Amino acid sequence: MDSLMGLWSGFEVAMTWQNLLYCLIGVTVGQLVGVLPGIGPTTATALLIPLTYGMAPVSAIIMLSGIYYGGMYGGTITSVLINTPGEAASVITCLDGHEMAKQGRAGVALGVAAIGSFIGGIASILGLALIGPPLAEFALRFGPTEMFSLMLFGMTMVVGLMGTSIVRGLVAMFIGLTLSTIGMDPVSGMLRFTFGQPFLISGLDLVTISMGLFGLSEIFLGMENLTAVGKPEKLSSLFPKKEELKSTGGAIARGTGLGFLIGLIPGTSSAIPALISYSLEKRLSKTPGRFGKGAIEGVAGPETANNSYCGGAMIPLLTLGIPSSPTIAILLGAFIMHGLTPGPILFTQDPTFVWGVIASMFIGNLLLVVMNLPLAGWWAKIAMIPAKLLYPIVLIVCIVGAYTVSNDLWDVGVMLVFGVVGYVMKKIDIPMAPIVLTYVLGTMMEKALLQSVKMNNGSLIGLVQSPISLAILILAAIVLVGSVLAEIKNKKAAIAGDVD
Amino acid sequence: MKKLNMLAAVSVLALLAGGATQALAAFPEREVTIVVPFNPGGASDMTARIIAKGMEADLGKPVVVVNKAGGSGGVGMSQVARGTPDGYTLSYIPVELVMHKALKLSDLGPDSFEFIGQTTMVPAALTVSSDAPYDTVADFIKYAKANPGKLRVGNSGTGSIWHIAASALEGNQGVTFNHIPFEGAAPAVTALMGKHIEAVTVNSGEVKAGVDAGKLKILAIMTPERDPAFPKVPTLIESGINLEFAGWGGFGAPKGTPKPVLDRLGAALQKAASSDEFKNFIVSRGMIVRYRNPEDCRKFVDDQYVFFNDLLSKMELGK
Amino acid sequence: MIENEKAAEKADEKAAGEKTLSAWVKRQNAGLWFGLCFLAFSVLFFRLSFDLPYQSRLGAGPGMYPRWLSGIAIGVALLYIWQSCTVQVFRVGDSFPGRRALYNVAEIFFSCLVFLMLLNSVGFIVAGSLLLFITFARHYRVWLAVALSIGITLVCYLVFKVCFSVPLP
Repeated sequence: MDSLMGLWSGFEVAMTWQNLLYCLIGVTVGQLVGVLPGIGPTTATALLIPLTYGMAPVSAIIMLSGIYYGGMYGGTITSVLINTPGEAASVITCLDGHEMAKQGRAGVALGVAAIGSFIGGIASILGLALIGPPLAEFALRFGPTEMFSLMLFGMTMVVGLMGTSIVRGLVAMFIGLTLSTIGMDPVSGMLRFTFGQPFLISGLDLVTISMGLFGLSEIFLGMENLTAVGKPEKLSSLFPKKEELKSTGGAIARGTGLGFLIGLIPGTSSAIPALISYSLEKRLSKTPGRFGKGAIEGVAGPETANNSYCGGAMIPLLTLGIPSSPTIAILLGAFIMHGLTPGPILFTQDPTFVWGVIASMFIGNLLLVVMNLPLAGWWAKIAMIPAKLLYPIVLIVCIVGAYTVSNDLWDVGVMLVFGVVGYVMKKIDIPMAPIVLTYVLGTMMEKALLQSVKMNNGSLIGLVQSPISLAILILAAIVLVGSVLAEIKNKKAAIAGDVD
Repeated sequence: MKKLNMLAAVSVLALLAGGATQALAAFPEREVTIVVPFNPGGASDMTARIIAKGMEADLGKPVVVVNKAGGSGGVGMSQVARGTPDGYTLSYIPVELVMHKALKLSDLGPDSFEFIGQTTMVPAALTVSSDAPYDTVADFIKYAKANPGKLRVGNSGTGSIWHIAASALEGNQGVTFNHIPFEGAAPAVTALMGKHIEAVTVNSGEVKAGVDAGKLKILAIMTPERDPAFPKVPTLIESGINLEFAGWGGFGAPKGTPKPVLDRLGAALQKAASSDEFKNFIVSRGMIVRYRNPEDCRKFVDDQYVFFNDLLSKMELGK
Repeated sequence: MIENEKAAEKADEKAAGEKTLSAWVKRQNAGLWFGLCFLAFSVLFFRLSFDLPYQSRLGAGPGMYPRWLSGIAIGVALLYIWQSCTVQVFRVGDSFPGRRALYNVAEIFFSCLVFLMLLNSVGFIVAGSLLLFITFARHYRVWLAVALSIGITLVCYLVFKVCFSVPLP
């Protein structure tokens, strides 16, 4: 009950005109940076921190966290409309979201994503308000060992994204994994495969790769014959069809839970709940064949999951002062700069502040959904812009976006290379999503494995000694066996896919 | 023909001289750029941004901060070091500069730059879980001696400044730790709070939240003076261990920047570093304000270069 | 598979009239070529991973993971090459569009390259406008193309440079 009282007092803080305004600014900026590829919420938050000097701490944090969760909404828009993911979490949304846009259902995809994000966001904030602290304690038990098992579990999920042919899926997976080894070795600090290039020391940038593979290759494809690029005949309404409602609702509910739980675990990435949610929906669906061809659950689930991840990720920060992702780390810096140290003491020392921020997140999510539902219709009209006008614009935005990654032309060049690779791969039907996802997982997996081995004095025993890790590994094994069995069952279909 | 050449040479010289005096007379004429070789949002970035604001007020021209992350700071620093030495492009210089050669990351060294001044010290804090069986550094070392290789000490990456901090303590006391690298100080602190490791030697600002939450305790600060943020915590020297270790940050210009320009920049930096806003920020982030003028800074960096190279060569990194 | 062969035959028939370079290119197996590139990429990494120590003082060295990974990648590449030669053939002529369309794609690619080279010397506004102008020029009247490309570049510049202080040259 204390929590509810706190929340009530929090609304009193958050509902002042000033704070409402800052909340609005925050979510709007967040959404904008989500739309612009390259500039992520991490950069935007960092750049805006100096502007918050003169502000009251609570207003400053309300605005900065608004950028954080607002960015998740924005990322969807580019994924759906122009197949260009602005961050890792949106890679999954491209798979079905862009297909839906091609069918003229961009409005539905965006609408469902907005509603799902809203539900996911609100539910995870409720979770944060009511059951946050004990959960955060539990999440601390995820060390490198448990993390490795979780990543391995994620890898088995990638198998579900492989498209029609296993071999082609494997090729994509290994390209991603091999690329992820470029850069400084996580344990010894040795440089690997950098070819003497200082730009490669910290590896290739994920945003650059995904913009090249998805966005640029799409532009190249369209440039083949601009006048022939198909436009959807007409735009459908914002709401899903009746028969889709039930499965969409289920996808949103599952996405909420997944995102929240994974958000609690420090050191994960928002791409992981999105990936797991997508695979889960595909597996649960009676018609898995629709996935990749514009299945609405494939948008609803992952989009919900990445927003509910945001709420979950705030829990370790507010309750223990642990920054669980780069953006959260910058938020932590902002807290400290305003003389506040996040942690359990903050709840007792300055309850109006904590609850004010939490309440503002309710309001921010409400603002976002109110903004997004009508906007979704407008955004969807972008799909109707003639390609000869749209594509060059997307091209230059991608280029500038890649430039912002390290403020150097290097990333633009890398993006161009991946654009060409992506173009060729589209032609010979190699799926792109596994490359990006294994790239994310691969880097984290090797680090976690080597840390875990080193912590156990050079042995792998820790993987089975930790109960959490053991449970995840067993789950991963079940999933893997399950999907292999399903493959065998569908062997005819698979071979047909290979031949077709 | 010869005459013509002479004429050309003279006119070029005149132009150059004219340009040079002009530049000296009215530096700065346009905006000054400070390159931060790390991503936005970190302590280095914030330091540079506040300093830039202060310098802007003094120089009367915009001072812009640009982030060029990558290669442990190598990408950004190399770019500035190779740039035109006119004082319009400066670099934030982190402690990593003196480690680059030893770690084979780049050819950068103290000689690559002219220093404008040092602004900050970043104290390392030996921190353990609050329910650990040791309350002082002496107990901790005793425990480490009894269990060689058992104590897992987290750092912010192999070859990073905090890894070297732990190694310095190790070498000084003749004990063996099991160093666990993380991808930054924050994940290491998180792992410490989850009791996956036994200690960390990172910036005291990074552990402040955990200490306030009662989950962590600091055994010692590795700077010569106590950290104002934790006035009760003794230094290593007070605890009887003759070792001082800290990260630092300063600003530099490309080698060959004219002296008058450097003086002008140095004066602006000194002013910026003595502002209250800067001091408040630095203390709130768990760092220490430590201004050194260009000459002292040069001497300090050269000493650090020797100190780190000595340490690193003993650690057999990069092998 | 049968369909593929039929299509390939068709392509061959088409190409039969003109025994030119483009006909030769059209008959190539795109999957094979991609597989070979991937194989080369894996072999390169496999080779390089031997320069890294396999073991370090404590267990796994920096070379272990990449060596296994690229080793398996070589296997996957060979499997893929085998598959694309037997089970599923992607002829260049079928998968890739005609010369004209490829020319369009190449044009974009090279204008991006030109942009890269120009950016640091002439600045973003000029280079960006030029890039957009090249892409617009063929579809719009000249004055409209100029106006559009300069307008869009300026908007980009304002959004990124002014709002997010990205240091565009």
